[in-house]
Amino acid sequence: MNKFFTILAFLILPSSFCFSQKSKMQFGIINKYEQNLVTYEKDPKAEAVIIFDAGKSKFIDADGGYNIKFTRKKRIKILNTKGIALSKISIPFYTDGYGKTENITSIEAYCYNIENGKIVRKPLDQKNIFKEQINNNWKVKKFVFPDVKKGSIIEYKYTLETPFLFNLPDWTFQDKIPTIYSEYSVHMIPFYEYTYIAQGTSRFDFNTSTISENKRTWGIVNHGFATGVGNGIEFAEKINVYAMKDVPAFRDESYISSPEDYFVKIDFQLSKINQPNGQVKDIVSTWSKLNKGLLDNSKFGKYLNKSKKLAKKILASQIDISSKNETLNQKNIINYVKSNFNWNGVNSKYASKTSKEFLSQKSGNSTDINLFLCALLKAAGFDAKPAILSTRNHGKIRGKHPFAHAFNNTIVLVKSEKQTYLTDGTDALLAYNRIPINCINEKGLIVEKDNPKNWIKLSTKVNSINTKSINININPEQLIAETDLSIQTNEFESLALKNSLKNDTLKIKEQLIKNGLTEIQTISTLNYNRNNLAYIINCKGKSQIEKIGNKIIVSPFLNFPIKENKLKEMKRSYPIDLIYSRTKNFESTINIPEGYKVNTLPKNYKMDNGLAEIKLECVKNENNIIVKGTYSFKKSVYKPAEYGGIKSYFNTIIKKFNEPIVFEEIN
Amino acid sequence: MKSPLLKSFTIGFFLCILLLTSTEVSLGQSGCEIIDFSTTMVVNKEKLIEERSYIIQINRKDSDWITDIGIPYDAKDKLDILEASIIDLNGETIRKLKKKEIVSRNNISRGTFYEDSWVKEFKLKWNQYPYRIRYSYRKTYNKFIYIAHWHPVVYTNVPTQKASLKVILPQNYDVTIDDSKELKYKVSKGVKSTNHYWEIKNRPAISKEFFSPPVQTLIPSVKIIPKQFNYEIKGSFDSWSSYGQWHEQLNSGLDILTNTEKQRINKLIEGITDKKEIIRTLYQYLQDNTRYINVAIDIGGLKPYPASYVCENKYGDCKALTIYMKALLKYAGINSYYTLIYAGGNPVRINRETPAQQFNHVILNIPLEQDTLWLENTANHFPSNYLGTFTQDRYGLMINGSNSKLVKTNALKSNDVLEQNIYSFNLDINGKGNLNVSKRLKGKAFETYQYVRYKLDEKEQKQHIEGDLPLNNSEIKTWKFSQEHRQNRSLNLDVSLTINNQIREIGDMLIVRPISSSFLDLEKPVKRRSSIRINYPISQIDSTIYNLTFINQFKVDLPKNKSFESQYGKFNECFKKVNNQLIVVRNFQLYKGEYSLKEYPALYDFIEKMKKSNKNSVIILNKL
Repeated sequence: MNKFFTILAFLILPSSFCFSQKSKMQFGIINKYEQNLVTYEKDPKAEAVIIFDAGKSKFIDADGGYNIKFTRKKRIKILNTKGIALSKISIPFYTDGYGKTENITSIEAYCYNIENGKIVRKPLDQKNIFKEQINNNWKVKKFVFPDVKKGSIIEYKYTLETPFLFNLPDWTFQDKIPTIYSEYSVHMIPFYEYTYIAQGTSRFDFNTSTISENKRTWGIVNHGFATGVGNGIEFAEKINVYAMKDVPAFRDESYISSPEDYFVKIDFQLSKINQPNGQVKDIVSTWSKLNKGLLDNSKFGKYLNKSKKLAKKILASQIDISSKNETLNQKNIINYVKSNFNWNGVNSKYASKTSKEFLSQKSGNSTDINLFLCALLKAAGFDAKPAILSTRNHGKIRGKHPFAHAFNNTIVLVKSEKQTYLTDGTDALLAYNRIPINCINEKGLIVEKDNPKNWIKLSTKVNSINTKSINININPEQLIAETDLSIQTNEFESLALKNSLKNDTLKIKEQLIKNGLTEIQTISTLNYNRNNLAYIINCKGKSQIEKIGNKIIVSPFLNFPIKENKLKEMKRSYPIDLIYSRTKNFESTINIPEGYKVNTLPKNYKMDNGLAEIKLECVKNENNIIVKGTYSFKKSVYKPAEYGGIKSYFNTIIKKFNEPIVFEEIN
Repeated sequence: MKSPLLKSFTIGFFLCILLLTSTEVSLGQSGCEIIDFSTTMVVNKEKLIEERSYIIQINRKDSDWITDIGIPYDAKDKLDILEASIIDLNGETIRKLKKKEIVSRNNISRGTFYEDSWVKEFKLKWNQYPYRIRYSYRKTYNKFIYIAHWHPVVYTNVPTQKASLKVILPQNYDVTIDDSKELKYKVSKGVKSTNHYWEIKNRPAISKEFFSPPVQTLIPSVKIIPKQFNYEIKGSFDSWSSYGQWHEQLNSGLDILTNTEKQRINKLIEGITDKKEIIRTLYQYLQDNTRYINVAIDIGGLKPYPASYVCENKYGDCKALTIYMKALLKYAGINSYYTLIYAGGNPVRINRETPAQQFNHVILNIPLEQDTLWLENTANHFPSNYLGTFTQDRYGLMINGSNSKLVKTNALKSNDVLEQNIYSFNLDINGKGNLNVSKRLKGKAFETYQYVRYKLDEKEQKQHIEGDLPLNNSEIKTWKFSQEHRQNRSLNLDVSLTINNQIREIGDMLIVRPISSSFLDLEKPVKRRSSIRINYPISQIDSTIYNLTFINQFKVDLPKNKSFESQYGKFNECFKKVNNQLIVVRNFQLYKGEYSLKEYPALYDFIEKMKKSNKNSVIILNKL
């Protein structure tokens, strides 16, 4: 066996560039280039490189219909010890819970090492392939390559057979390590039509569409007669090939919505079924079909309708909607949902159970909760509609095609004379008319009968404010300052604070001590559960004062201002996504201690443009000093070109807001 | 995925979870309490039947998390859920769980690639507070080595009103009982059985504290060990020797290499005569060619895969890798012993009086004429004979037939853990410039950084180093790891940075605040609940050198040198000016030790004194 391999390798040795990609991708044949690869010249940092990754989807006959057979082969060269982790492979597959399942078969995997100048091939033992049940719908087949070390070449192939024709397997050309060659070929048959979206690239390096020479048949076709007898159809496959070479590694950067938004990939969606009898069935070739499909679905529209009946009962007995104030009634309904039901942490655009089950179990996924909320609002006579969207970690909705699988979450749109707003019942700490941060992802689609392409913007215009008022009373003998502090926050700034500290006095204390207080006498908070009001933390305590020589040094804003710029890279190729615009205010009053005079004050500063505003003002009175500082990031998302500016604003803020006040002893 | 900042990850080695029946102790919050938690264990012929029932009260919505129930079980055992309902405070049923609401899935623990363990999950949530939930289940074990391994808590920081354990043993069934004194105990004899009963009321929640013994040892427990057991083969917990004999039998015949592997070894050690040299060569061969992958099926918790499995796959868990290493040595004519141990930086101590399966890891012991060598076989980047913070200074069970016995590993000494950092600044008058950091790492830091060096990618390495340096306003330019030899027990890391805002200008003074090492934030004495355990010493020397070309324009005020010592450790700090240089040298040692709660204020004061000294050591440059 070994001999066979070396000979073949030798035959294709002369140039690693002149032979076609096809021959490069022959499973089991390792060429000299791959053997000798020590570092990947195009990315010397890479811990491993994908030599090829090739997928093929083909429709195969199954019980009078078709299944999709997806085969994949992939080869990776491990370049250093960090790359060894890539030799653990997991292949997920789906079961719908109603008897249909995907299947993974014929996994083959080999590890190649060079020993004494010869290639040694180690196959994966089939009994070392394990099946793990992740949840009711997902399982994975997993295995570890044997005998892997630095310098190993690992390759595997498998077949996934799926009856879910809606999900023609998608293909991702990019990975966290570089890819030399990636190819996907899809053998289409005339009965199913798909549309696709390509992301992250404007063109493929290789893209062909050819008609297969071999004919296939559906049903019985008899060639004995000129006109043909039998109800069968003869057809040829159309083979579409998409390929990319030298795809760089995707290395995650901070402040991006989701890596899924930037990977080079191609997504397919079933658009049409051409039945053999000539009938054409559009699947979701239009937005109105997508809308209708959801409205007719038992886990969406029908769930909503059934919920309405239950909703009436609840409204009658448990929620006060008697006010003349429409908004108050809506608020009561939304808050009822938030305090009576628990979100199980799952985002989905389909309900996971019947509305009756949801009501008795008191917990469910985002759609269970929000469609029920929608039903309650409707039952109370309000204009409420579900809206679907893609959460931030699920990626952005791209392209013009109605791809149902681009969506993974449901929220609710409420319209009334006074205001139109989006709402969500999953997060008890958010105001009734706000949606969670994970939902703020460009745009959502309202699901309604008559208006199929009604998009709604998800971005928020509301500015989130965090204000800190500080009162510092210096006691120069003890080098301690009595310190009163009030933190007032609203919108997402308050959400962040509530989520991190949970209104737990111990946690708040810990945080305040980090922020420069040394001793805390009292802490009180206000409006933790009243989401439309500012969340306030008040505290009375002490802070330490620095004395150097005959000078006393005070940081007017304690340790609250940021001290470290998180934007560390020189430049940036993706947007800087801050999610929401924000303003931070500081106001501090410091007494001038007896026996001391002011030596140095922070210098006033002002800067204001379309991107940000920074302002610092210091006023000296007879007995005290008042320092006011404010800075705003006016946009929620900044363009890559604005990175340099944003980075320098952070630097300015760090410098200005940490400037001390110095008092000097009067002799 | 954002790469996590790895501040507290497991380093270098991997635990393989040797089967240890454990209570599911995890973190929680207040707002709920365990009303009643009762456990019954019945030994019936060859089987052990466990029944647990829980009544839990939920007082607030933010405690609903406790109604997410997961019952883990092993594929080889049987689990029946007996009851699951929501009840009101009078015990009336509000809702019963339906069968189809129970979801099963694999429950593979972290660090394990595959195991045959499952969990059944369900939710019992209601919307009127307070409410209670009640559920119970029965597990039937066909094989067991503990009859009870019980703690009267469900979650360590949820208070428990009442917890009880009832154990029904056949008459004349020989057991060892290891129980805590805080528990109320009763025993009654029936016709065919003996009933033991333990109970405790009103256990408050406990929280994690610094330098405290592991939480499992801070709560009461009952451990019942059968004198005779049948786990794959028959064995006895009569003595450590008898348990060792059982293990020896379980492992017998597993330490044999494949023929291909033998040929490789022949080549590898050809011509080497020195025994230690052979050991090192073979150990490095293991390190360079194998890796940790844990696949635990059936009794894989205790029985290793044979050495041939590692020969074929070049991976295994701690047991398989250790057996393989033992086989390599055996083939080379060197005797070694498989040694069970409890691994961890803060380990649960072995109760030496009670022979039982108290271990979670395996290492190898090689007795030589002069000394004993130890090999940790799951770490690819430690020198041979290196037992780090994870296995130092504790008893392990050395398996050697009837001579099996507890043996102690060496303790890390202060010189073994010495970390030296040199920070060398070149600054202009605005506090801008560059910094070179040179670290010489040993002990825990050595272990951590070997992991960072070999397992993290460039970006993660940078993040880790950044997080570890006590600096603000700096940007890392380059860094480099170096180790003179892989047998060295230390590692060098050199980091070069650009740096800003290192000098504060205050009036006509410039202020330089030397880098302060990050000391621990210990809880205040009034809050402390547990005694103190410092498992290994800490020893650090930090030197900071400021090269300031402009220094002649100033008169320099250096802080006073400081030095103090207590029974817990010592600290000194000296300041010097030499030509253009300001030099600060700090030396900190914390001794290994165990102290009662009474002594905590004194330890706390020692640490606080250092912190304070650190805070007050500013260098002032006065304009001339």
